[in-house]
Amino acid sequence: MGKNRGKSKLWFYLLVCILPAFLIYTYVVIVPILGAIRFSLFQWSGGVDMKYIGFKNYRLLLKDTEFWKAFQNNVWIAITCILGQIGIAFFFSALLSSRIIKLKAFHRVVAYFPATISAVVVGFVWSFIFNYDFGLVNAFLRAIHLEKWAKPWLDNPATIIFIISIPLIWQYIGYYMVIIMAAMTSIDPSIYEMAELDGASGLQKALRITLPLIKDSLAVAVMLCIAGNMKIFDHIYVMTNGGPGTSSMVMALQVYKTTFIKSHYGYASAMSVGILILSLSLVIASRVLITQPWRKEKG
Amino acid sequence: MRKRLFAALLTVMVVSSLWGCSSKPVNEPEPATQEGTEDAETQETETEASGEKIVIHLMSQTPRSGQGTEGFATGFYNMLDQWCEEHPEVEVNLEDMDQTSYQTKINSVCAAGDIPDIFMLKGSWATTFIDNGWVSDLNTGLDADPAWRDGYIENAFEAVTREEKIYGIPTQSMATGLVYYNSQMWADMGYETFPETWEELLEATEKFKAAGISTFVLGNKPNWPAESCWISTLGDRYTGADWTQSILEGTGAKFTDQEFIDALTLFKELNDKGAFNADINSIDDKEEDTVYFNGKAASIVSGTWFIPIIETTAPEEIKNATKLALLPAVPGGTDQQNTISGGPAWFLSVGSSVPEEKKELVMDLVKTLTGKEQADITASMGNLTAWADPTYDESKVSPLYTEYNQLMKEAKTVRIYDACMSGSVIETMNVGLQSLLAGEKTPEELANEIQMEQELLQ
Amino acid sequence: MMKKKRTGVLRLLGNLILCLFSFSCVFPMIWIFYSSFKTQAEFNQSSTALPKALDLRNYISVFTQTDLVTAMGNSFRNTIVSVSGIVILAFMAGYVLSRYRFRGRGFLYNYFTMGMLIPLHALLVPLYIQFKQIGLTNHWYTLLFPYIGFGLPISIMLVESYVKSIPKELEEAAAIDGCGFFKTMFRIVLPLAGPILATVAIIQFFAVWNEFSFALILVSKDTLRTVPVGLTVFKSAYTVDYPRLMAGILVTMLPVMILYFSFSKRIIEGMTAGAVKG
Repeated sequence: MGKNRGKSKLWFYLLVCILPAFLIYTYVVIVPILGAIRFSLFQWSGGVDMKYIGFKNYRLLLKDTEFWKAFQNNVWIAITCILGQIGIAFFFSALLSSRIIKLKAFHRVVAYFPATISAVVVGFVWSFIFNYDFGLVNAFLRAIHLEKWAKPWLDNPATIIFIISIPLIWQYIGYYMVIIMAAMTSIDPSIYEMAELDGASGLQKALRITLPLIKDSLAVAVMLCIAGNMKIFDHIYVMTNGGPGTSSMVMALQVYKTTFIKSHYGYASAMSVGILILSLSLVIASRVLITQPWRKEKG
Repeated sequence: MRKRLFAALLTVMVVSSLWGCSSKPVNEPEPATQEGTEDAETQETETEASGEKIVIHLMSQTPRSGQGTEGFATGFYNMLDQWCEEHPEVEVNLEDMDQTSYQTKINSVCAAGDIPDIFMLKGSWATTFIDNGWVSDLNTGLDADPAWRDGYIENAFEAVTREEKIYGIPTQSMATGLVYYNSQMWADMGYETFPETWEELLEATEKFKAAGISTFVLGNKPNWPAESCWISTLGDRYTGADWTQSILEGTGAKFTDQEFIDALTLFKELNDKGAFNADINSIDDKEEDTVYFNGKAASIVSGTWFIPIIETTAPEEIKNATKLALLPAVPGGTDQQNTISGGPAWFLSVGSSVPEEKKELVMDLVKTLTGKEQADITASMGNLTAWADPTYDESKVSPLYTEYNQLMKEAKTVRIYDACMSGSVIETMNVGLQSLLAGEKTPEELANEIQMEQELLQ
Repeated sequence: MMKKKRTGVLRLLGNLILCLFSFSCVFPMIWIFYSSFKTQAEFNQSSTALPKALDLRNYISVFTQTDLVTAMGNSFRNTIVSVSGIVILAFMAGYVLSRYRFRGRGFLYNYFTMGMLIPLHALLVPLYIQFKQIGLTNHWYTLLFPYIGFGLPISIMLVESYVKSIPKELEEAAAIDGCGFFKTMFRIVLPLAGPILATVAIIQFFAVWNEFSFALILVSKDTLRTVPVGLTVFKSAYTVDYPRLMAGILVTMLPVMILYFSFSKRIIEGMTAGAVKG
């Protein structure tokens, strides 16, 4: 390394910049994953006896219908949230950057506020909102004489996934607004001025100018959204505990229950590795879809 | 060059981690080795500023904030405070938290071989904890003081006994399948007492349904209430106690046995007839109390822990109208129909890595925390104790508590499923019961699933 | 005429939607606030009604029965140190990854961002074993490691993508003026990256403040407990005194809320500044 430093200081600088982050991150994130990968090869209930069973846990996992159902639920939640969170956040950001809105500063400050509340509190509040007897949703429906629409919202296995996505969307709209608005600030305002001279409407400006220009940040947002929803835990745990039955079960909750309630540490580790692989594939797929490398080649 | 450097760094970390991981979880939890405990000791004394004080690490699922308002929390922490005063040379490092957090924490620390000196053990965890060697047997200590050992109710140690060895001391007791009914509401429907047969109950259900009232409220979101408060009793009414014992010992009984399926079917039918609240799977065991208090349900099947809750938070007219009963006899069940699920669910255990020289102190503390004095305080605040005959002023406790004791004179206690069966079987049963209630599974499918999980254990 | 009318409707609709949304954002806190004055019996009767009297009992109980003050001190220390660490480390790493094309860059970027995909409950046991092994548990600095480590992936990603969108001209000019590597990074790029660093800081601030699982597992001394863990003692096995829990939530959120509302004003200023410059 000494030789290198003389030749090019830059490499030393780059190293100084990256190494601290690299070390901490590797120690608390990567090394435990390797630990989990190792555990996944064992039949282990937490005690002294660890029985090496090779890839048996993975073979079981492939056949585990409950796990795949949970994965499916995660995917549905992720899709709903990408559309809901990022879509609404983009819409609100566009509104806020237009001239028709009053109280802009207030909206900006308040919109992020739900994201500051812990997931547990959000889940707790929303289970009261959805409550059958005295929840706000049903109270509202009863007030406008739509009693028959009042339902035990969290009890229907068929719709539960979409119902529990609502608080998720609500909580993180502000989060994505911050990211999108930060990206919008880097757009040169003269572009808009020119478009306005050409008679572009607000909608046209948003879709034709803003959207393509903040594509990078949107890609980041989509990835964050997928990553966040693949490991979603607290909201579901508090609102439904994965129920009724397993109809709102998600992968992270399943890992938690397999570890701490069923004491199948080895199998739970295999599950975690599975989650990592599945999430990685989804993220890579989404990235490919957004950047569309094949287009570049053509163009 | 840089790439190689990073690669080298990564390799070093990977190798060191794998080496670390492989040596640790296998070796560290070995409690018996003197070396391991010495290591833990020196580390502890190093981090402890107090230096000479002996540190006892105590972990509990009962938060101290209940001291003064809740029976068991008061009994437990009053005795702890008293013991600490008597032992100034000892520092008790208490970690109290709620049950969910406790479950996460105790499993993590034990898996890492960092077992607390004294901790709460749930009956259904016993098999895992004993097989993993995380708890030590307490026979010597118990046998040294027969008055202590024999002071508890019948079968108090059942859930934590393996091959004559006892691994925990019951801290309190409970009955889970107790019917609390609003006698006023039932009288309005023409019932002076709670139905004693199932047909009568179904009849009543029709009437309540027509009046827009739930016969029962059940908050099964946390998914244990249906199993703990209903199925434990209903199941036994069909299978008998021997079946449960056979399931626990793995000697032939199966969840797919017709008797158990009958119990599930009966429960499902009761739900299908509209006896329960519509939001059965989305309110929890605390919100169900609210529904009962607001007069939207005529009765509730809950545990003895509900008695002090009624006493302190129920509206006056509900409190006065509430009476106790057993579940009605089931059609086609065994001869014994006066049963109710109950017994101790939580035990105080001693970690297996407690060094010899500390053992005596630790046992003394365990005795203080579980003994008669604790029971006296707990009972005097209207909570059930595992101690057979606690002394308390009967005139001062809730009338319901007295009524309960009266009721139990002619009832037989059977085991609570989640206080004895293994955690993984119970989780499968609990989750499955939600599906059963939501109409997603048939009793047969559920029985099959539970049996499959049961077979994984063997 | 028609067009004017249409924009009028749009204007009204847009404002209405945002106002409704903004109201829904603060509503939970309002509900928690007024409910915290109720008694448990009152709350049981109706969870949405206003309290009958301004009863401070829950607040007194929060301060006398639990050590929330210590917990808040711990949470503040953890949060401030980890967020500073995250911002500095993520800025340095994100800047380098964004501006310099070196061999292994792609790998490093993916290596870091992969961390976002990991469900944390899977790592609790392995991480605890690791920490226990080198005696890293039960110190005041114990939690800083996982907080910084788990905060880095998203932060590096955000910084990287933002820096990419900053024009390079200023840096090139600085290089011509003879500015060194670190001077360019801290004097030129850092101010330009202000908005995203503020975003990172605020996201991480609340992520760390609300973090529960690591705080529960890795630390076992009550003097080191953080706020989320401290709040669990309000739940006992069979009852939850909701109003008291809400008082606890409110007490522990109040300082953060104050901080948030003063801090977020800054962010908006930062954003507008960025827009002017852009």
